[in-house]
Amino acid sequence: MDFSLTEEERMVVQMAGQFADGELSPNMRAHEASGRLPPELTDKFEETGIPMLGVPEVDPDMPVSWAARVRAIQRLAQADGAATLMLWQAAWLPPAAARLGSSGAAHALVLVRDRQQMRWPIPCVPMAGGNRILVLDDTGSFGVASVEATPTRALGLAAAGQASCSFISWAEEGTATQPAAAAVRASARLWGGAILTGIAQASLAHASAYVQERVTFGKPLSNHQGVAFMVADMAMRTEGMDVACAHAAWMLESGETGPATDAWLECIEGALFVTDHAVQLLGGHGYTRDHPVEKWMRDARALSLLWGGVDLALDDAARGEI
Amino acid sequence: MDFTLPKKFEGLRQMISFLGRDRLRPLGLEADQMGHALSRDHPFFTEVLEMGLTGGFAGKMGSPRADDDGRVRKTVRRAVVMAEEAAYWDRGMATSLPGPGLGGAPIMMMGTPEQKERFLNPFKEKDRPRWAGFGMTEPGAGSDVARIQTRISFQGDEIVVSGQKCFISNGARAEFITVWGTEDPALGRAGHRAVIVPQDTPGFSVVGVEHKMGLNASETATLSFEDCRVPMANLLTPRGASGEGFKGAMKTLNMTRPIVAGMAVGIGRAAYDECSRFANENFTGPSAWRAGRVADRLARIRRKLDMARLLAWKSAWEADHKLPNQLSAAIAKATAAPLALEATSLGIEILGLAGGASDHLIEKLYRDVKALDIVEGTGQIQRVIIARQLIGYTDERGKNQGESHG
Repeated sequence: MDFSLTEEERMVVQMAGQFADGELSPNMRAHEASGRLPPELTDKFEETGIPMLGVPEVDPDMPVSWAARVRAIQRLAQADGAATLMLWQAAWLPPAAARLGSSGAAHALVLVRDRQQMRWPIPCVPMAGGNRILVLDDTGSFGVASVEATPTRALGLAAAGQASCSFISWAEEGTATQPAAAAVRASARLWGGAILTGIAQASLAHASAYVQERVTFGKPLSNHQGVAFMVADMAMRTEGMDVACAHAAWMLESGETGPATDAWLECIEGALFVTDHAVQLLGGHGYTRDHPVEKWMRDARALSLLWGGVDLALDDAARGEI
Repeated sequence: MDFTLPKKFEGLRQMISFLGRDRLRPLGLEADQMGHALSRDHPFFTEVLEMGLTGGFAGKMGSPRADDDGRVRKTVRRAVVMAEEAAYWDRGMATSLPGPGLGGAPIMMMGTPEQKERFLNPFKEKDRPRWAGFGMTEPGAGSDVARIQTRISFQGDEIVVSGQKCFISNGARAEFITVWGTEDPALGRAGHRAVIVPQDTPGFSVVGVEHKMGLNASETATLSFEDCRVPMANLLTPRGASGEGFKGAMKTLNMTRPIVAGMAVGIGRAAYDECSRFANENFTGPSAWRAGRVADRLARIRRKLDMARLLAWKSAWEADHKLPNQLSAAIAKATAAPLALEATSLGIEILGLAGGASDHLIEKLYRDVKALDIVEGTGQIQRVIIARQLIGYTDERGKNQGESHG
């Protein structure tokens, strides 16, 4: 029962913060407009060394807890969840694939119930300009699909290179052990939950600042109780997401995958609530692209669809109940 | 970070679990059917005294206390874990356990060594069970403590206390009540004082005991103080120290709110277990078509309760480290209580009409848990505190809103 980070861990989070504020925040809209991250940015990110820290699969002996890594991802996502997803996926996918027993390089992960019965084309996948998808199903059967990826406009996560993907062929197929498949599913969900938490934290902070500046009916918005209670509810959800991720990370570190699925579900529910409320609090201004909250609301909704979304996660979460 | 339960906690938790199954739950159901708390001479109270288990959520089960030596203790964390376990079996019974409890907490935190010896040491005696009361709420002033009317005046070497207090747990059986009042309402916070009033003080009387929706095992009393005279040595907050009185009270609440959150999780977990057992027994065979739908709802509420527990733990961890935890305490309590109600409600829904019948534990849990979104600051008050911390929320009157909460 200890919620503290070590000095070393705090430094990692701080480093992520510097990168987030210096590189991601200022270019958030530019990355969204171009539908990709410039290669220099990816290089810069690698230079920081954060990707290595963020991928325990690469080096499980790093002297940083998984909970601290979650904090680092959250910090990046506070600036731009779409860019964070892209950077993270690039660092995380190769070792995750290796864990399943796949040698093929892939650009995105898709989780399905049954690989043999999945439907093509997939309408939108954050592909980062690539053309290979790692598909993993409930039985542990996996395949690397060569696809024809056509860039497409999508609800959110534009910076991650959303593309519609048509199936060409399986470049590689195999079967992973159950523990490996469960671990990959769980860590995708955990890192996804961490990104959603960062988006919610940023939305809460942005809305909190706004309601203290904006004056209506002779007083700041923040002094209207209806508004104040909305902020309080947002804070409650955000804190819940945060502790759920920290706990899930700590459990996953010792091989327990259930809490990561729970954290993912909690974060989806929380992020949808918090980002919607942030737009609502800013009113008309929130609905325009002059503020980031509309982007965060779209990104949160789009991110929550990845890896089978709520329903595939619920399949896992509810499996043991009855 | 580390989310393991310390070994010492585990042993204590098991002891409470044993007591809970054997005594707390059956006695809680008995009290609920009677509609009032067990009498103070019920053999159970002597029994727990002999076991060394005292205090509602105080005493050995972990009461908030001041740690002057600067060492970080696990006091509040332990209290949260034990409160969850005790409330799992019966929250009303847990609150009725003998011990200094919430009434003793201000003395532990702010009392002089002499006061601690005089008022807290008797609780170590095992000759008879003893309780204490925390007298803050009045008929006209709950969380809005600025409106507290109880007058505390000074006449020579004596303190005179006049006023009425309500919703006081164990109030009719308490050895003493820690009474919160004002020396002069015009002084605002600077006028607030806390005084220890023993139950045998002339002028003290029990006006009545509430008939409640739930938590019938816990006695909730209305108390009257008519010119109660106590020696100056019973004053907890020195005169002239501006606002010390209520700051002390609010510090107590910052420690107890995560504990209340823990209790809510305990009741929610009891409801989850009941309804999970029912679902597993009944939604198989011909009713299996229903299992998937119910499993989703069970999974959701289990996840929510786990999250609420983590919020309580985090706030307790902050309290133990003397970090400001007012925000996290409000968040934990405001989150946990409604979720626990949801768990009990889900339980009733899944049991169907059987869940609504009064011989089933689940409907009692539903009635019991509602109190936790009300006691020690309603969910609305918690939101006021959260908003005040995050966006500087104030109301029309400007300075008073939320100020009373810290």
